[in-house]
Amino acid sequence: MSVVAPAPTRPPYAPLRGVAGTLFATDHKAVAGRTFVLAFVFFLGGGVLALLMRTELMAPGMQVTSRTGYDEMFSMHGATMIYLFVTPVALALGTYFVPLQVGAAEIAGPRVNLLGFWLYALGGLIVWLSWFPRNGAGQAAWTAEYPFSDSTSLPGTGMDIWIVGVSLATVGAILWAGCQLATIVARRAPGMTLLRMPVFTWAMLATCLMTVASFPSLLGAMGGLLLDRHGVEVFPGAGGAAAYQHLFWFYGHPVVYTMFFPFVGVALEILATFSRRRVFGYKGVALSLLAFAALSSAVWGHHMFTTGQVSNLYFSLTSHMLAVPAGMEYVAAIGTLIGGALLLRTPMLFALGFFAQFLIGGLTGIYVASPPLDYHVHDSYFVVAHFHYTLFAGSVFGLFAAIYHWWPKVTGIMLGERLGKLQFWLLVLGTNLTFFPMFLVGYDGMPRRVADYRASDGWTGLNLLETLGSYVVALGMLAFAANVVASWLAARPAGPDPWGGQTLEWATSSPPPRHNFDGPLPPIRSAEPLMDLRGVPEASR
Amino acid sequence: MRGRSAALVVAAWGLANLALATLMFAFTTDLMSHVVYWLAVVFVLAIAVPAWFARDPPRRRLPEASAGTLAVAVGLAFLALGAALGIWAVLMGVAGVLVGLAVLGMERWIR
Repeated sequence: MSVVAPAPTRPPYAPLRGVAGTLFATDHKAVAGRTFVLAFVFFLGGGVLALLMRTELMAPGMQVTSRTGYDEMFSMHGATMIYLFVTPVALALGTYFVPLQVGAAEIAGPRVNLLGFWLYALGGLIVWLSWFPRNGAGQAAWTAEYPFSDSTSLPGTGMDIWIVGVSLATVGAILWAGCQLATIVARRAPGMTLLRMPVFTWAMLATCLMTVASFPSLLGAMGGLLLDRHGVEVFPGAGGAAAYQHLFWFYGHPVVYTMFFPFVGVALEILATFSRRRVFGYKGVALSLLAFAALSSAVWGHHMFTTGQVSNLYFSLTSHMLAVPAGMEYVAAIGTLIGGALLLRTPMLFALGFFAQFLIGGLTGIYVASPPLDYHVHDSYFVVAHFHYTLFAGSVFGLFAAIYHWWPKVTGIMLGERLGKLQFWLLVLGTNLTFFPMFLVGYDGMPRRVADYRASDGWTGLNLLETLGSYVVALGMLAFAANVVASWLAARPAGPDPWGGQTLEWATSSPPPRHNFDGPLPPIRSAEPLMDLRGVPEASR
Repeated sequence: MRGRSAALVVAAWGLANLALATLMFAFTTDLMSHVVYWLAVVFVLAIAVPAWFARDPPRRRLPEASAGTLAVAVGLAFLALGAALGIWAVLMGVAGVLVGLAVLGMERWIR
């Protein structure tokens, strides 16, 4: 039975202005907005480091930096992109949209949510301050690989500070996830049963479960490492490098899905919106997300195949099982498109690009989930290509799909289509030019994390292509920046629902008011209440 | 029932992990693998308990802005930095956390 949900009860409030409104507001939308802006500042920093590294590798011989400088660059690039950019923006999407999609007036624990932002911001600042102390920033990769990260290999305070910064940002992420989880559990509007939650909210539920369950393991690893660096023998007594790797990768694999699921959710919603259809196989998608999340906790050992310290059989089995829920999501995506009236606007292009390019990352994931094949490509550029196809060609395309889709809702103005499409094609070209040749040089034996190679290795041409590709990616990002500026100047009003959206966030003004909904919510009879309002039968799923 | 249905999802997710963690016994005796996974499984199942009892709390006025959270965060940052920078950072961190908690308490009363 469906019910008409009343407008969420709103306590009286006075709108905040000035510094207090900019920095201290507890509104989940303001917190998410600040997170987004700061994450993009870090993205800029991490991107510049990537360009410098690609320039270094364009040709044999050292041209741009020293070997130590290169170690710092790839460590800070990885740490920035994982801890300070993709994970925070993925969770920030949930911080903004989960309360709106479930019809809540506010996120649960608004001050805890704000505390999460401050810990993330301070953590990020501290990670980047680690460049300055004696011996420089962390040089042991984003994984702070032990024992390369111990005080013998990396003396000085730079690595200590790096560890503290990463830990603070991680605590911030856990707090954000906890607030979203509590919102989904206790703040859903009347009528919003679990099986009427939008796909994106389901994706965030799975994401937050993984975050809350696996991120504390990173805190254990970082805490142990910090103690170890200050004379307490934590890891040597507990199994050495393997003990550290267990703790790290128990976080390190689920975080990949924390950086992926939110974009699966939003990409499926975009496919449905721009096909004028409901998401195909809705219940299967919800089930697949939960199964995917559960399996994500059981695959960390595939990062340790070559150590001989884990059961390769078990971790290979569970890693291959991931293909089943992933396949269900692709079936849902294709099923949604079939028979739909496709509208190829910029969000739709990015959503299609997300599914197409992630497939390359996913299929090569099956490859490296096989121990014999993994032995061949472990620590080579093949692995670099694989995870950049999942995280850049996948997640970043999903992120831009989300940005183009929800920009009108968040700002009240539209982004330009022409510059959006230019950005999309530049990114498609640049991404594949940068990362596909990495499969080839990696398969041929080029190790990752090296600052140089010999001309006689025969990798110069492909490395040159990769570098050119990275500049094309940078051009794509410039097109996005130009689009933002041009749209801001043009200020073309979006209205509450420019795309014909399906979920509750499109039933409120753009941008939404302080407590999300000024009027009563529409009746919630399905996961797409706005489709119900338009009289589209649920049987059309 | 909202909290309970969500608690069931969390519990089901925990039980799926429990099954996978149990399956691991058939493959390896590596203690660290089991310890890491079982700790997480217990943690997940423990999350289902508060979710089971969660109810939509009564509406109350919460602060529209919170400076106390920044003070707590700065305090926690200095506390953590104490390992690298020394006792002065720890002391500043403790002071920051205490000030922050006091401000958070005041925010509840003075709106």
